[in-house]
Amino acid sequence: MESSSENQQTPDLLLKLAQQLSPTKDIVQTTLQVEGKQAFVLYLKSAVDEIVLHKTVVKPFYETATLEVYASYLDSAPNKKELADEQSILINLTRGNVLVAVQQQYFLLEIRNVGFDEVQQITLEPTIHGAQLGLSESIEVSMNVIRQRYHQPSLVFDTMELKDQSNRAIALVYDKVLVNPRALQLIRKRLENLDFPLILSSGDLQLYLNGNKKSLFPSCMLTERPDRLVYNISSGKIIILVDGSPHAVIAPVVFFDFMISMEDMYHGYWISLLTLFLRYSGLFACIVLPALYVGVTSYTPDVFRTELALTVAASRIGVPYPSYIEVFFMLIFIEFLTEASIRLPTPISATATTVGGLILGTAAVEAALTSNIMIIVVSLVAVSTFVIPINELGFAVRGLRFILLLYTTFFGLAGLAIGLLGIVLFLANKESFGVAYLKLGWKNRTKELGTGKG
Amino acid sequence: MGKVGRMKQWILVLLLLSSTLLSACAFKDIDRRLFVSVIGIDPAEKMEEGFKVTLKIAIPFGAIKEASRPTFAYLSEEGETIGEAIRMLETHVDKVLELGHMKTIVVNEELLKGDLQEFMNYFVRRGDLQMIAYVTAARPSAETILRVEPKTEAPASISFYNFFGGTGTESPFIVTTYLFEFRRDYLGEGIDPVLPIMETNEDQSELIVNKSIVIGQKGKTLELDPLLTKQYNSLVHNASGFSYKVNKDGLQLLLNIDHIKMKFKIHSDNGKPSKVIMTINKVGVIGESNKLLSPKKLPYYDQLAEQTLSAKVRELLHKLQEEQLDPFGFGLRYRTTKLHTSNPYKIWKEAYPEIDFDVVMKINLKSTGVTE
Amino acid sequence: MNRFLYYFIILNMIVNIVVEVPKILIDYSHQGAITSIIFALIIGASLTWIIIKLFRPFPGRSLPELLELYTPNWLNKLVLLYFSLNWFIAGSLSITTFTLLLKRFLTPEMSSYIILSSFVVLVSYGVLMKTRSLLNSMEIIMILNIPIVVFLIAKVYLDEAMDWDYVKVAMTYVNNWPNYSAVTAALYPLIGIVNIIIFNRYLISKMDMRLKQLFIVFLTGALILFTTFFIPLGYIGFGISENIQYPWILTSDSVRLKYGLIERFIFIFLLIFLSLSFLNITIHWHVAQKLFEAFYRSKKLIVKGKDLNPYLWLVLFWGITFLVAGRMTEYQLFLLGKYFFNQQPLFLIVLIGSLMLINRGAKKKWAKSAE
Repeated sequence: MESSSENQQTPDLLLKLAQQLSPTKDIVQTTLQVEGKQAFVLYLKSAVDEIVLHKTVVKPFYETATLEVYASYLDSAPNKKELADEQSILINLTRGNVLVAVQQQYFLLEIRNVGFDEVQQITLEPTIHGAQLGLSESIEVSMNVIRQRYHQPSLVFDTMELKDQSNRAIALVYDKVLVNPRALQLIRKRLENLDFPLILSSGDLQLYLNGNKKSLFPSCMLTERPDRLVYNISSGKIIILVDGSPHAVIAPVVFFDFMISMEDMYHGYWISLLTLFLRYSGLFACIVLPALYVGVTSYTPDVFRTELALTVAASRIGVPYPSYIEVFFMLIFIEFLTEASIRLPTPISATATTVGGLILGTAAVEAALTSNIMIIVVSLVAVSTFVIPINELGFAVRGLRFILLLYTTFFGLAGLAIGLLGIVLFLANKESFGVAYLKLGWKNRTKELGTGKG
Repeated sequence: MGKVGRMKQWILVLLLLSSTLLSACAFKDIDRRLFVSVIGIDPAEKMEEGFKVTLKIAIPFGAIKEASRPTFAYLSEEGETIGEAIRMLETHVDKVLELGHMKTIVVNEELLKGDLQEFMNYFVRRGDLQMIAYVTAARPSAETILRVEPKTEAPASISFYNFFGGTGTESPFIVTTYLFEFRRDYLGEGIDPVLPIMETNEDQSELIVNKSIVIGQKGKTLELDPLLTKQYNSLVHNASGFSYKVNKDGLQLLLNIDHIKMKFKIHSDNGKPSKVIMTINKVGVIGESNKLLSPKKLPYYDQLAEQTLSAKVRELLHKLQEEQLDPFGFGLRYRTTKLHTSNPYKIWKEAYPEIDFDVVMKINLKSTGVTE
Repeated sequence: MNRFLYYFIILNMIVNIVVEVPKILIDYSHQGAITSIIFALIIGASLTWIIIKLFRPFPGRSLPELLELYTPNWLNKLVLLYFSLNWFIAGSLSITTFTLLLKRFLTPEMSSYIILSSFVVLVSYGVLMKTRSLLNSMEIIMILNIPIVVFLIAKVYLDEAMDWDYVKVAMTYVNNWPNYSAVTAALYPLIGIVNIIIFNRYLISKMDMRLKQLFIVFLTGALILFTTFFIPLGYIGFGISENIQYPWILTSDSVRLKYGLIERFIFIFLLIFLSLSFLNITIHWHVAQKLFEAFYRSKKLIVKGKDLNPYLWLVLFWGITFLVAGRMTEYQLFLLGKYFFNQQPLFLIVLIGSLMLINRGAKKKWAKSAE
């Protein structure tokens, strides 16, 4: 190739950037050249959609008459991005942008190749009716999903960038008319002050947002259901989308939000009332039952009917441990089972549950390590835990029942009653982004409970 | 959070830990307890004053479904008071005696003739004893009755409980009296409690409850035979399943009464009670007859039944009046009609022996049964 | 009327069904309990009305703030100390009585110190909670419990074994003059409204009471007092109930739930009333703690921006309660409760007097600023 004087050198900026990116091998730095026209392109092969690149950058180069025309073509491209300092250009390159240099002018074009932009099947909160497809791992697609389900001019997408190593794009989605301004302000502030080296997905973002990582109960909700998102937007909540994560974060949330399944909206009044009742009784059962077992068998067996007392006493014959150890062991055992069946691939997990649940359970009773009543209690607890529609609350409840069990072991039935009240107090005292976590939402209730000035 | 938060956590942990050390004493597993199911009280044999207490303890037993009979253990001990005897019995067993499930108190008939204050005191004073325990009189002795194990008894169920309170059998011959009722009516002025009498057959394989005993103040008692017991029970407790045989002019009718309502009023003359008017409504059907019956003649049968039944009630009332016993609570009712300043109970006590009874019986037979 | 005011009034009424009040009333059943109840009802309802009226000009202000603004300092401190002691004693009394109650009926083998300590962590948590959260939790606990309370009371009313003749006999003692102790005992359940002195800060709208609301309060009060006094008589008898320490517990044990999950009524009864008492205790001490704080606050106890004053008061509360609960017999406790009820009129006079002073002070200030 002849090197004439009109042939410009590759611009310094490009070289510098390329150097900074090396030694990665997916760097592409080429020169487009025809009849004295010259343009320089720099991009990362792994992040850029090369077909689109070819169509929108390479081809027009050869079709336009002069470099000026080409430059103005690039200048008016819809996917053009503003240039900032070097560092941000570098990050943008890693994100799938293409840097084009034409006649000392630089253009940054976004030609991302997102390999995971399909909308995903809903797996976490399946319903019979209602949406079957959830969000996508690509933030644009997810935004599209929401926009297509909520046609209101007041819907706002507020995109920003995480300040951690991943530099991921996130979006706040809310209805600017309905949104709770105090919560919005709080979330913005928290996002700005977020100081964590690496955020992996919406799951941990949610935790960091919380402010208090040690809290047992979740103060944001993770969901993948677009109908739940829309429902929450319309009730004034804020959605946080994270690029690369198919789950969205909803904040602020209250306790009752965790007990709603979207299915409730699609059923008739009585049916959803019944399922709601079922769910709350399941919640109650799985918190209270283990503690109740200890409280009643070891402190106040008078509570039972006589026949039941005799049956329970009979089933405990030969069990060497006091009831609370029995309950602790069995509960931990059932937690093992649950944990194992979540982590294992489906075909194996079925075996695990069968072996664990059926065979070990029966054998434990046979060997008089535990009583059959205990097995019934523990299985009931395990089943009723799954009645809770949102997983995060399920986890919290699993922890909670150990605390209640402990309290009852110390103080008997009175301890159980007081402990339950304590849970109510604790939840009522908790806040999620300035919203009380547990309170009854009567009509015009807020009006009556205002704060005096001063 | 920060330092203060961590401090709070430590305090919490310390508190909980310290309570583990403390709480060890109250924690007692269910299989370390013995459930006393029935308590029997007899007069002491070895000492002058005192009681002999017998406990019937239900023993939980491995596989209930496979067991054919319940198993019981019996403990007996004498003591000057019931509490003392039970305290002694606690040293006879390896487990804690749990009285919270004790649901029947069997008292020797002889004891009922004495002063009951003392032993009732024990039952009311203890916090863990049920006030809804049944009280029953025993013949010949509480211990014999306690040791009866009826053949119909199923494992993990106690037949002493099923007799009363409409749990199992619902016979009009069985009077149910709860401990609190017994105490209330025994100590109260103007009403006397009635207790069922428990008996057993010769080979001690059955429990029989069909008589009752009215307990007045100062040891005055009156036994009611099965028929009178049935009358009393149906009037006061509206016991269902009441049947009655009417015999007139060769016509025999067996009435099955399923609805009974009794009201009474007290009339006064010159500030003195003079007459008790008892109105009884009964609704039922004819269950059995030796002749053909006609539905048209139902009013006639009503009348027949009214005559014989009201005679029977009158008999009961007069018998009670003779003994100056008052399980219906006429005296109590009279007390409600006057201000306390006029001392109505004294007036009533004076007037009761001469009072008139007027029984208005209304029987409404709905059908002659399935056949005519 | 603001719904939270109803909650305060009704909570106080229900909680006092159980222990001390019925015992005192039944003790005086031959000496004018009925007239005392009627008398107390009239006083109680009108007091509720007066207190709400006197607070009406100051929405969103608590009593300590008002005292600070409109009354001289020495008086202010004195009144605050007296009130805070009152609230502390009220809470402490109910905590001790409930401890003894649980010891007797639920877990006889447990030492009363342990039963007491089961309250420690959670009551303290409730006391230190934000006032608004406390209001929220109060609402929830009330809404969850009141239907059960209504069921329980209805069950007691409708049970077959209930003998109304005894109740009627008790009514024949109507022609007696009211007795001072009986009046104060009957008055105590009716003055739940006094908690307004702290909670008024968080309640701003609908703080009015009209004839209709007055009527409702009067009626519920009458119903509750009737229940408290007369219903146990139907179960334990009239004239023979005096020597019973816990008439209502005995009554609740006399009811049988034949087909219930639990056959013995008493356990449900105890646990439900335990929950409500727990709530009431927490509220009492929350008020007491706020009042104490207004009375005296040490700057030394603010360590690194964290105010430790509330903890100081709590430690004091618990220390005294543990001492008292460990030493007292049931009878002493009962007497103490009676004395506490007996000094109630003084408390009410001080409360209304200070409110009137505040109203006058406020008017003066207004007049001054208008000039």
